[in-house]
Amino acid sequence: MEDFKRTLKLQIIEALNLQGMQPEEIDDSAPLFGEGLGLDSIDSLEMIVLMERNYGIKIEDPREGRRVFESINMMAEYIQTNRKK
Amino acid sequence: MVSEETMQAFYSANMIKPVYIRSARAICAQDTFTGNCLPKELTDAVNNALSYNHPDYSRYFSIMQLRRMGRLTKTGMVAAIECLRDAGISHPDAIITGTGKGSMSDTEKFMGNIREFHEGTLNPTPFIQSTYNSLNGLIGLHHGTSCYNTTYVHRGFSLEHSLLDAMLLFSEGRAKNALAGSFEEMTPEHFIIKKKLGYWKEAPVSCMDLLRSGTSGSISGEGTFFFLLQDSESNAMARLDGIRILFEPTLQELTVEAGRFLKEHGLAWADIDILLSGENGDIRFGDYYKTISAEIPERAHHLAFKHVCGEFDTAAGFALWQAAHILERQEVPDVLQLRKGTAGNIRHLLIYNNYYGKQHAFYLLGV
Repeated sequence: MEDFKRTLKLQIIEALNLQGMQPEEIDDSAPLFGEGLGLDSIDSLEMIVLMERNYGIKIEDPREGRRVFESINMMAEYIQTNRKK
Repeated sequence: MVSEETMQAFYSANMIKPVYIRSARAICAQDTFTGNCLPKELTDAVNNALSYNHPDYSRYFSIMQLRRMGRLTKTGMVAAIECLRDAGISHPDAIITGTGKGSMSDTEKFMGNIREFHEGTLNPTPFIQSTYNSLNGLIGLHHGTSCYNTTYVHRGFSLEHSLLDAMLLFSEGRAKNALAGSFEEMTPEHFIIKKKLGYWKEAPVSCMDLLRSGTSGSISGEGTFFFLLQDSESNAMARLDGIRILFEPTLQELTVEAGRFLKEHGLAWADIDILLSGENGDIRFGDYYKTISAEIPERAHHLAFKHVCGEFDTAAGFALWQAAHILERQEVPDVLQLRKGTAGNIRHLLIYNNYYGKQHAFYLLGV
């Protein structure tokens, strides 16, 4: 699981163009939006694209997205349970 | 005689009052941004392309802001910020730009995504930035202003329409100042497409040899230019008396209309102190420039600019930026001289440019 979280962080860094950021700098349990990493609504769209392209997961319900993108821990768990590829 | 089609095609600006250039900023292949002047050491073209000399963007934006900015968004934002700062204005009455192609790199990225992912879920960032007016919106957001905000996309007439729009706003009393300008970029893919269409020279050519190459094609360039225009003379660098645009004129129509344009502003060819023209080293369009340069008096300086900035839809922005500085400083850069004249006191400067023989534009400036 730890290896997968690191892979996920690298994918997020690339997708959101977080230049110069290392996976270690992203706290597994810190909020991704608002405080913590400080991502915004356009980033959430980029994350939806990331989930669909890399794992075949479609997030269509905004309430579900809010829960899934809460932290790296939540994202990793959700992907492992629902991934189609 | 001017044909009916040509009469319909050109847009006369002679009913519009002169406007004043308060500040001017340029980012292009040369380091024009650091000192807001043409540097003594020029950057040469690499494989017939003059690419952006980028300022240090980290002085203006955080990493979190920069990550979502394309290269053209960055040049545009920084040039606009400094242009407004030079003029001491934070909230312009209007923001008006022109671009021939907009952000090509984001457009290509977005189009590539459509193909790669079979029109499925696409990344929003390249799409947002590929839209022509995204830069204008960001300038407005950055300065916290919801003023008149427009972008013109008319190939070789894009910059001219942004300036004409500003002049019209002043004439109608709807604005007292306006941030007007243009932005353009070249990508490797777009360079190849245009090369196949004969836009660029086959063999690599140095900038300083471009204008005597005697072959077809030019060198590509890119540039972002911003001007703070105002309706009053106070603290102005130069006065923009008018703009005349012509679509595919014959050589005779070109001369007749240029003479008419000067006459409408109470001038004759003999009054021109500097002709700043857009020779691009492509012999297919050399006759247009020869025809116009033959009209200026012996004492006038004849300058060229595209060997310094390259050819692109809105290259006239470089000429306008340079013209404003020449008129303000009363200094003529040697590197631009095609023919050195004797005129010392520069009062009237005429810019003539055409974009691959189709879109022709005259700008008349003075002090």
